[in-house]
Amino acid sequence: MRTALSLALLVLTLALACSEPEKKPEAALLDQDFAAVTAKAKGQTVRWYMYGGFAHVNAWVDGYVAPELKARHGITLERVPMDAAVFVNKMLAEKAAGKAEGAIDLLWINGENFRNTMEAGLLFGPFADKLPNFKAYVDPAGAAYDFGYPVKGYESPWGRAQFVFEHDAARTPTPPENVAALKAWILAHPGRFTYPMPPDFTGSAFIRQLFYALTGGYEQYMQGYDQALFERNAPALWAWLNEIKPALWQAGRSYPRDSAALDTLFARGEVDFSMSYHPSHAASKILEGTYPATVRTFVPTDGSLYNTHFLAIPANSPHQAAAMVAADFLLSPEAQLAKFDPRNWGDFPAIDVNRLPDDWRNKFADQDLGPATLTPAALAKVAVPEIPARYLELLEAGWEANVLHR
Amino acid sequence: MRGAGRDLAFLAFLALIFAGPLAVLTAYAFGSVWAFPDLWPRRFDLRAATYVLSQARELGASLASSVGYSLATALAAFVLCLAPARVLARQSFAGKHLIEGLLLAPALVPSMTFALGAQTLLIRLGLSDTWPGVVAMLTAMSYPYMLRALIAGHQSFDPAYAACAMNLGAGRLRTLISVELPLILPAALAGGTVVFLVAFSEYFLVFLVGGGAVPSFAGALFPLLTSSSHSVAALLTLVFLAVPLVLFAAIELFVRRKYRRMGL
Repeated sequence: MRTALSLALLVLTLALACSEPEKKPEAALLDQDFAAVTAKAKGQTVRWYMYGGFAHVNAWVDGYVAPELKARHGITLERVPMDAAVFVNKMLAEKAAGKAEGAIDLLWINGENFRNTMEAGLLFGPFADKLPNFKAYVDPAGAAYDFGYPVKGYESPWGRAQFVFEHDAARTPTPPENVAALKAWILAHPGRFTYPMPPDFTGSAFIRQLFYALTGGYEQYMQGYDQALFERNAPALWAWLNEIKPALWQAGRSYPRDSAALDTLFARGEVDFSMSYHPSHAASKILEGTYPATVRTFVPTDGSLYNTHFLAIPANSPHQAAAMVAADFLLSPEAQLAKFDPRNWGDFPAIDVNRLPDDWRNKFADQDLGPATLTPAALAKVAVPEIPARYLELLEAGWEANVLHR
Repeated sequence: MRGAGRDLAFLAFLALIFAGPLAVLTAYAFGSVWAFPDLWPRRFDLRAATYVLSQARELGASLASSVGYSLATALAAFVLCLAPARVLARQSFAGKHLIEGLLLAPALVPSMTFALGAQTLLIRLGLSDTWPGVVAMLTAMSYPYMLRALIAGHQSFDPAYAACAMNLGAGRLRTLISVELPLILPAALAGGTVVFLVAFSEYFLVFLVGGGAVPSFAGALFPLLTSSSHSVAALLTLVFLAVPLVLFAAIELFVRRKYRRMGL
């Protein structure tokens, strides 16, 4: 009876199986010139897997990028909302099962997810230096490392982000200007500050930035991982975080699980600060109606993290030519300027604006970012680079052991 | 009088637990800047609605896909369970309870547990990232609800109906189509409803097996739910709620007309 049923299931499954013809990936794609790649891309469909929680970014991709790619290159763009950790797992499972042709053509990826896919040999490349817009406008030194891990042309940059704090000027007119003042403010206003619990992306960035500020700056960590240095310096961070803990929201017994939860607490007025790794996040939230129009952003004078975010192409993508053309289009001055417009997204350009012709440079300079977003110059003044990934992992694990469970 | 008062109180209680959350969702969907200590959102606007309309094509496609594979799952579960349900309802044999229990296992085991193993199998079969793969996976997870319903359905009418029809010269197929299927229909619809709901609200399995190549409404909704875009998430949740409601209303209408025609 049960065997009969399983047999029936198996037959059903097999009958439904429409075996796709195996296609050989074309090794020669990277040797062709870009005009040939563009010609080959015509008529292809690019499936772009990316984080789907920014409604305005979704709208920009569907309403600007997709129609432009269609009109310029005859490429159909399909946006698939999926968290990076999920698609990395999917790609690893496909690799383990020996699937030659995947469903993913383009990834929005960063940091440890890039390192994991790279180390598992899941990525196509090196393709970045084949893209005309990359060659013309990107500062190669600025896009050479992703969280301390060498990119080697397996990712093309498409945006820049920097860590900012958010406050409501109507409630908190003068925000603390550095880490020491922040601590004094927190202790003077119990229950009005908290941060997302690491390993949340934003919460983890918050403690990394503190780590720099409390231990004498970022420079000492740039030469790769040094265990003795970490063990010497980390206690200062744990001590600082434990000292503010009783004055945090919920007396530090609980933390928001991610930055969206913190945004919600802030929007509801339960805490007085939020934080984001996107300088224009507050402006978007005001436009969206989640934040009041009086919300502003600020950066501490002792340093705020910045990073570059990237695109990658899976090794088993069926439409690598079209994925390359899409990555190139996203680096074009037109696309970068549209992305920079806060009504669309407000994400900072990945291209070096100084390499652009004058008229384009002026357009970037004239872009009104709105009152809630700091100017690129103000951000650049305090920008500090990301820490190598090994420190990041130890800080996240150390936070759990030394702060959460303390 | 006292009974009527109690009925009213009960109705009010039902309204509170069913309509209350809907009211909050509606306020979130159309309200902007809702902060303590305001009882109401400071502004009402159509921002979320504008966004949803601007995404009508993508969201419509994912909605159609979700409804499509959920209906297909309900149908597949029905076809799969019809014969076994009949045997389990009508016959007794050694180990019947054990088999019944084993067949219900997928409803009890967390879907993640077998999904990860089954995914490898589906990749090997070339079914991952395809529509049939998603339907097969969802069917394997949700058929127990259909099986239970069909067993109960078979037990609810006398096997003599079928025997009569066969005595009058109807063949097996004719008996099935003209006698048994109409009698089993209410049970099938009840089971199909649950299977549909399970499939329609499934997020993780569809992502794992469909891999984004099969769009799903839950897949479009989930990232927004976990973000702080409350207006859009609330509005899409209302859409999410409306789909099964519309479907059930349509089924109800269809069944009532069908029975009226049959004179039941």
